[in-house]
Amino acid sequence: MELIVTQHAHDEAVRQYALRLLSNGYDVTARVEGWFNAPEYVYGYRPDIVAKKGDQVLIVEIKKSETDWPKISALQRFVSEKENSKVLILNPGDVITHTSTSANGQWR
Amino acid sequence: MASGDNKDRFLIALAKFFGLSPRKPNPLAAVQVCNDWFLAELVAPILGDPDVVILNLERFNQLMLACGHLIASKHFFDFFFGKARTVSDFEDAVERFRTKAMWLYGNFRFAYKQLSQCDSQQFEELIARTTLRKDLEKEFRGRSPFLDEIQAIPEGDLGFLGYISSQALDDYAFGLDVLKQLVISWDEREKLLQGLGAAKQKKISEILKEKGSQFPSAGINGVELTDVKAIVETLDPDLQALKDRQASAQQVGMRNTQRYLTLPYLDVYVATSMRTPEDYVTQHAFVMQLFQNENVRDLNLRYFDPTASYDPDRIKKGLIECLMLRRAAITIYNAGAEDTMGKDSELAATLAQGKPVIVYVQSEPAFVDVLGRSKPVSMDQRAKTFNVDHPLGLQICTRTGVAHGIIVVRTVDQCARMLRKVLLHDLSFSIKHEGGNFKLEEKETQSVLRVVTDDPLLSHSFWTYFRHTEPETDI
Repeated sequence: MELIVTQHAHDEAVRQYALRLLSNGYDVTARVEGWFNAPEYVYGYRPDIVAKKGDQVLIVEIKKSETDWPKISALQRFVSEKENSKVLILNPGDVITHTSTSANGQWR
Repeated sequence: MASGDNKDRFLIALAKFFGLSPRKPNPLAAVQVCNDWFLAELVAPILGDPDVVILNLERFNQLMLACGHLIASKHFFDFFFGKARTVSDFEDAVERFRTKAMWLYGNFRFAYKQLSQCDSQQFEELIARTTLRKDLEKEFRGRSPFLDEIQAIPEGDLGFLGYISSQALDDYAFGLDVLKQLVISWDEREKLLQGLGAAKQKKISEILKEKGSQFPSAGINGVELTDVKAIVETLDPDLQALKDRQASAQQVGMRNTQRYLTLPYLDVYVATSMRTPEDYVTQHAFVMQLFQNENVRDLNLRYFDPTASYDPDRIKKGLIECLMLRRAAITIYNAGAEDTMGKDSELAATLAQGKPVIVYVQSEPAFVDVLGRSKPVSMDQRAKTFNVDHPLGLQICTRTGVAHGIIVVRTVDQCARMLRKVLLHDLSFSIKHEGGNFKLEEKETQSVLRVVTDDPLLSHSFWTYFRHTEPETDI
């Protein structure tokens, strides 16, 4: 089935994942206007998040639609050429925290 | 025998006909190619007592030859001078010609050349561009009403469509996301806040304070996990409700954009700046009042209301607005209290396309507070600036080289009245000569819509490098 993500859901996932990486001690650039510096372009595409810790580089792309594949392909090419780098492709649903509590009292 | 006064008036009018700034003792000196005695011999039988003018095509063309101009066609003479029986009539005829010359070509000499030499059908077509458009009025009235085609957005939600105005909601969401992340990884709270930086924590504190919740502007000492969790659980439903309204407004805005993109015709572009939610509300109210005004309501005008259109991508939104600006016949510029790059460039781009702009400067309230300014802005002063010396108040049409000015209005009613007049070519003009420039002034608003310099070198150089191409279609 074709993936279609709203702009809101995408942006929310980018925000939340960028903050998660910040908690984990990364230096973060992200496409969150007004709060983070934007990441540099990679082969003509701007990733959603680029996080660095020491010599490790983590590129994160939150999926929006099936038309993302050229960008994802470019990011994968970049990490294959650069040591200590990794790319994570995530669906917004995997990232967004819901504050409604589950049976054990934890946020989902 | 004509009085010297009448002869002077006749010669001054003739000089104006040629686009000259009349000077003593011979107003025609700059164009005259015959001896003075011969000019006097030509003029004498034209002027009778007390201020009678006896002018026919043959005498008129003798005058043209004596003044280095081509002879005119019969239809040209009949249209402008055929009914001139007195010096006053002749002066009026010259003003009629000059008004059309400034409107169509922004140049008297070239306008004479074009209008006096073309065949009668071309002449009628050119003159028709400057006369009342009865057919268009009928066409407008025959259209279906417009509002049904564009879906309304609740007034209170209009602000969600703006990139700048909706940033506040994004900031609110970011603030809550930070708190959510604190809850999720409470043990890493120091690390998160340090990574975020002091300035951003302070900003989050301010955002949450506006929402009635307290969060420290620096550090996190004394704050318990349960406090943070309580803030999130209190504010998150509020945020979600706002987001839902935003999503709904944006969805309607995107649908409207598709409708705008496929409209068979577009008459009016409404330019304004929309930075705050209040801007959206006031702009929308202005648009509604304007197009429901009795002066234009019967015309069923198609207009682009930027408060009803949305695209999530700024570049696309910019392209959409450029297209709407290009398609519309006229731009209404809602001036507000300060200049902004977006709407100012839309004003300039409209004039550069040779299309009219009506600038609305509200008369009430007379003074408006602007963030960052110590004194309120006087709207009377702002209107005066637009009318007299605003840098964007006069722009060259890039296609024709004709200098176009703006119409400044002070009330919604006047705006609607002028909109109708501009669209239907029902304006009244007078020509003023001031500071070395001839100005074509709209009578009701005293707005300058065309200028022609009387500087011969500037004029010659300008039209040498900015070649005349085609006449203007609109005022």
